[in-house]
Amino acid sequence: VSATEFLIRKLEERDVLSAEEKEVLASALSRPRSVKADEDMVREGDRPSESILIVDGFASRYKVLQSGRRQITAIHVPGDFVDLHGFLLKKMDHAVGTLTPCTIATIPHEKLRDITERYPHLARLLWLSTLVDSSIHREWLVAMGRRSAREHMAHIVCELFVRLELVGLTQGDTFQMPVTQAELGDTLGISTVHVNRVLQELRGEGLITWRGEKLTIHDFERLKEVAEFDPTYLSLSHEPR
Amino acid sequence: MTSVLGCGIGRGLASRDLPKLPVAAHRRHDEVRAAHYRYDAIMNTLPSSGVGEHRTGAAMARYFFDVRDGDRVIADPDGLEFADLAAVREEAATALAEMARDSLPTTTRRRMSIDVRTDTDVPILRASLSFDVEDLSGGEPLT
Repeated sequence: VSATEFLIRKLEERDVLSAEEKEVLASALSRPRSVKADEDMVREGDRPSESILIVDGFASRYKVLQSGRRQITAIHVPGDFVDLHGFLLKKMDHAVGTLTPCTIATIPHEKLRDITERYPHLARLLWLSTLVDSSIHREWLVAMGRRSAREHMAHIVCELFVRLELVGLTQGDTFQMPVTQAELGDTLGISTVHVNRVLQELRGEGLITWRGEKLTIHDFERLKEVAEFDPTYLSLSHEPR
Repeated sequence: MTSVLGCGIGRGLASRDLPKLPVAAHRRHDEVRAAHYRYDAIMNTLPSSGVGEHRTGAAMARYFFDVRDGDRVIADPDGLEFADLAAVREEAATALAEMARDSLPTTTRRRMSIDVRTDTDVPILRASLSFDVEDLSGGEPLT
């Protein structure tokens, strides 16, 4: 896999990319390198000089409270920039870590500046990707505040499926779900025991099964109903941006 | 209308004493990273990311959390690892509170509990909750 393959797939689902724009992205990104599972790539308080693209694997953005309780505020999949916002926000208010072994490529902020000045359409697409990140935050906020754990879990599963399908990483109704139940608990803001109970409930209703690292959705329509999942927030339409 | 909420964390059937630790004492960490690792260590046997107890230095034991909600019993076949009973107690109480938040608003009477056991069938800790909403208006009974 080339460093930009999933990123370009994702962008091309939403707009047309010229050959030159693809080349600019490819040449701005570093050579891919491996990062072990559960490594911090960026820590809270850091001032990164480059942004990280996930080429392979799952990563998260998170915050840890003094009590040790952790909240995962975003899950990132291949093709996602995890800290594009660091380019302009400068000082990181949260950490970015791998959930699984990852392959990443980085883009220096100098080059991002150059892209924003010379390739406005590409700059808008990168802007779009941070906007979609915030849409996802908004949707997660609604879920944390107003959905039951069962609805929230159903929502996360629907969202991950759609985001992975977008980059061609689903196989039929199945996708790789390589996170632990504890990590899911930190994502939903609930205990691992409750995660387990909710998963068993969804399984009992014939909606999903999760075996090993494979999650299968058996009835997407009903799962969407449980979650009240409407993918509008993922901005999936193909149109000029 | 009043609501009567009783919540108790009992010792279960075994005679093992629960240590009385200050709340969250086991969770205090000076370093963000240490806290992150503690969470890695509370792992399920389901998809593992390959990290575990070696990072905390503490001896971990596996506990199984069987949930009773009304007539439904959901046994825990996998279990979770914890460093001490205080952490187990907090997990059980937290899970029970979360179950309550999700399902009590639409009921008028419910009993739910979580039995925690090690690898035997004998629970070592029980967190339980009974819930009643009484209609004192004398009108049509609540359902």
